[in-house]
Formats: sequence, structure tokens, C-alpha cells
Amino acid sequence: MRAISRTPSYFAACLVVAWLTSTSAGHLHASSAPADDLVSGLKQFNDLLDAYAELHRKAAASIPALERNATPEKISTAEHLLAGRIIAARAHVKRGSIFTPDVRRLLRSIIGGEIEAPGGALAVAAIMESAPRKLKLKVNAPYPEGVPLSTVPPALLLTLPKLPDVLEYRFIGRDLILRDNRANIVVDYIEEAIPGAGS
Amino acid sequence: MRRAFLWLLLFSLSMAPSAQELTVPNKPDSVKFAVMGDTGTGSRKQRQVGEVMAKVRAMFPFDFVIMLGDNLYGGSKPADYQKRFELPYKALIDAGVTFYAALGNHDDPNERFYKLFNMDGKQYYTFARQNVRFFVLDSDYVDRDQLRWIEDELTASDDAWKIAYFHHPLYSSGRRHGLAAELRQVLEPLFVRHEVDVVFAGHEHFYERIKPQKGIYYFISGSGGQLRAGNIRSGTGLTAAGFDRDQSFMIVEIDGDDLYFQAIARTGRTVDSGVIHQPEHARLTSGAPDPDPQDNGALDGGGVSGQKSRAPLGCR
Repeated sequence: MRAISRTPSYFAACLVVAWLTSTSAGHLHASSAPADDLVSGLKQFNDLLDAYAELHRKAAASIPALERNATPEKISTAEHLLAGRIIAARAHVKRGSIFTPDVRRLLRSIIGGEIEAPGGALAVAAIMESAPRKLKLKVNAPYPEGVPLSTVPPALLLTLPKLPDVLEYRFIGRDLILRDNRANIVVDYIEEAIPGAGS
Repeated sequence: MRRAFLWLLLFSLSMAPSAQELTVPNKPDSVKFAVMGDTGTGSRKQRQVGEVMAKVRAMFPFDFVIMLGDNLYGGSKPADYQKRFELPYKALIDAGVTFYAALGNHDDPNERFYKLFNMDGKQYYTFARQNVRFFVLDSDYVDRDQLRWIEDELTASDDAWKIAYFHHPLYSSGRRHGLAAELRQVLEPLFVRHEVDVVFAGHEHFYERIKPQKGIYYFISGSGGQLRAGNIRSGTGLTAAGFDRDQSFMIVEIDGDDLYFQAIARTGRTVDSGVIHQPEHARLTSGAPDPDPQDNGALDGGGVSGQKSRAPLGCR
């Protein structure tokens, strides 16, 4: 595990994220060499997220729409149907399909930088206090029934790349997961996204 | 000896506090609601709180309840909704009481589609009653969209009372969680700038009224089903009143410039009460009806620092 600190790559990552969230990725013309990998990682991440959102949209369109004032039975049925469709459509998908090596580098850089920042210890404490300690993670597996969701500190959410509204970042111990909040499944994950002591 | 014991028992029973003790004025056209958090255990004690709420409502006809998150612990199957929500509050649901839920860290976000939580499919939302607007946040996941939304909604609101509620407390004397410093950094400036009056939160499994912070009144009511007995730390300087010995909930009445509150334990006993006055934001009158400190777990008393020109008037 490499040490992550608030290095120039962190600032580059933040600049890249800020820039791309305020401009279209299609207008990207990065010239800064150290940021090239991060730019590439973010562009790749956004493309993969868009693809997932489209897959989710198609899956949702293929099942009865969930009303906004539904019964528990309908909520449960819709969640399971949706999860089933998405899992079937992603049956071949392995870990790292969205959190590719470039994306992992980008996100670890951002998370590591936030941890090193003033108040970073509070952010880690908030995550670790609320996050389930350890679960066996598997892509396409349902997020376990009855396990609380970790708090994700606002400062970190403001820095991490924006997600489509069907996805969210959560933590399981030090691992970062990408969770589909409608289908309640683990879409991808990064182990040790929060560096441990001594790493 | 036996007769003496019986007299003592009868005397104790006659002195036992009951749910009939209302400290709120209960005026006919006021906004009346109840507050409960961390409810969804499905335990006997949660059901008992529900029964007391129904009894209180028979005298104080609140027509809605705000829920501060952790509405369903342990799962969100249909049976969980029934055991942890529909049965404990059956009397209230049958009477047509409306519930407005916030999400906690133990809640499946898909609860937002549940008709009886009235979230309209949204993780954060707003609603109003008369001149009171409620801002319901998802404090577990405050991203840039939610921050933009709350800023816009607060800016647009010209309601006399602005009340925010969500799961994680910005101020707390809890040993277990303590304050959500990260959250406070982003939300408190918005609340101050837009003159939010009162904030309710749960997460800590007790009742605590915080001394006003930057002109805002904070309440924790997180023991509607859960309880973390003896968890309020003394000496934090935050506590205006606290109760961590039994489950509890609150009732609130807003009448013009006054917001009356009353915290009630599972036994029906009142453990805190008071009134917040605005728009001058000039005073707070507070005090429980002489609770037994040993049983109450009440801390610090009603000392309220006068901020935003609010100050205590004294005990009721």
C-alpha cells in the first residue's frame, strides 16, 4: 500500500474534478503532464458511470415503475426486480470494471488528500465510527440487509467526482464501495481506499 | 406494617406522573406535532412509547409526527415496516396522523418511497404547515446537490418559522457519537445565514436540549425506541436539559411567535418543557416540572446562553 499524502497529485486531482464538473468532458484539453493520468482517470470514470446509469435506466424501464407512495411489498418487489435485471445485465462484470486502475489512483489521491487536510482526522473518525467494520465484498452482491450505511463526510463528497443519482459512495471499514441506491447492490469497490496507519 | 405499605403504595401511585400533564397551551388553531427519533426497533418499549403518544394525542391533537431517522433497524422487508412502524403507531396511523420521515444511517434509502413516510420518493424535501416550514435533510449523505437544494429552499422561504430536521446532531453531549463536526461545518453557516430557528436530530439515543448555538435551538430526540442509558456526558457546556434514563419523544406547539415544547418519557412523565419566543427571538422559558434528577438523568438545568438576543426567562 503506497503512502498517500496531500501531494501535488491530490491538488491536480481536485483541480481536474472541479474543472470537469464545471465544463464538459468533451472540451477537455489537458496539457499538464502530471495531471494527465488523473484527467484520463476522471474521463474514464465519467464514461463508465454514464454507461452504468444507462444500464440502470434500461433495467428500471423494463419493470413496473415504483410509485412515490408505495407499499412495503411494492418497494421490496421493485428493489429485487431491479437488482435482478441489473445483475443479469452485468453478469460478466468483475471487480475493477468501474474502479479501473486509473480511477482507483484518482480516488485514492482525493481521499488521501482529504485525510491529510486540516480536519481530515475528523473525517476519518466519522467514517470509521459509522462504517461497518468488515464485510465480504462482491460485485453485484446485495448490500447486506440490516447493515447500517456509513456516513460520507460532506467535505469528501464535495471533492469526489459527482455520481449519477442512482449511485452513491459508501465505506465498509476502509474500503470504498459504489452502491446502487435503488437496486441496493454493490456495483464496484476499492479495498483500502482509506490508507491505514503505517501505510 | 402492611397497611403502611399499602398507603405508601397508593400515595406513590397517586403521585406518579402521567401523560395527562400538558405544559403546552394546546390552543385550537396552533401548529401541533410530535417528534421522535431512532424508533424502529420493534421492541416492547417502542410500542409503549407509541401508546403514550396516542394517549397524549387524545388531549393534544397533533396531526403530524416528524421522524428523525433510523426508522427501521435490522432490515426493510415488509414485515419490518409492520413490526417496527405500523404496529407501534397503529393508533396514530388509524387516527389519520401523518408521518414525515428523515433517513438515518440504519435506513434503506428506498424507504423514501414508502407512502406512510410521506417523502414523495425524495431523500430530502420540504413541507409547510401554516407559517412553519420544515426542511428535512439526509444527513448521512450531504453532497453538493443537497447543499445546493437546502441553500435554494432556505433562500426562497419567507416563513415565520424555519425548522430543519435530520438524523445526525450538529451538537451533542453523547459519549457514543458526539457532535458531527464535519456536518456542522457545512450546515451551520447556512442555518445561521438563513435564520433557521430550531433544529431537531436523533442518532444519539437520548433526549437533549442544547443551549442555543449562534441563535439556533437544537434538540436531540433519539430515544423513541432505542436508549443509551447514562450516555449524556456532563461538563460539555452544551446541555440545557437532558434525559437519558428511558425512552422519550417530544410534542411541539407553534402559536404565532411562540414555539412550546415538551419532552415526555415512556412512562408519560414530562422530562423537559419550555417555550421559544420569536420573531424578536427574545426569550426562552424553560424547565421541567421538577423531575427527579436521579431517575431523570437531567443535566445542567435550564441555563441558556442568550444569543441572537434570546435569553431565558425562568422556569415554568
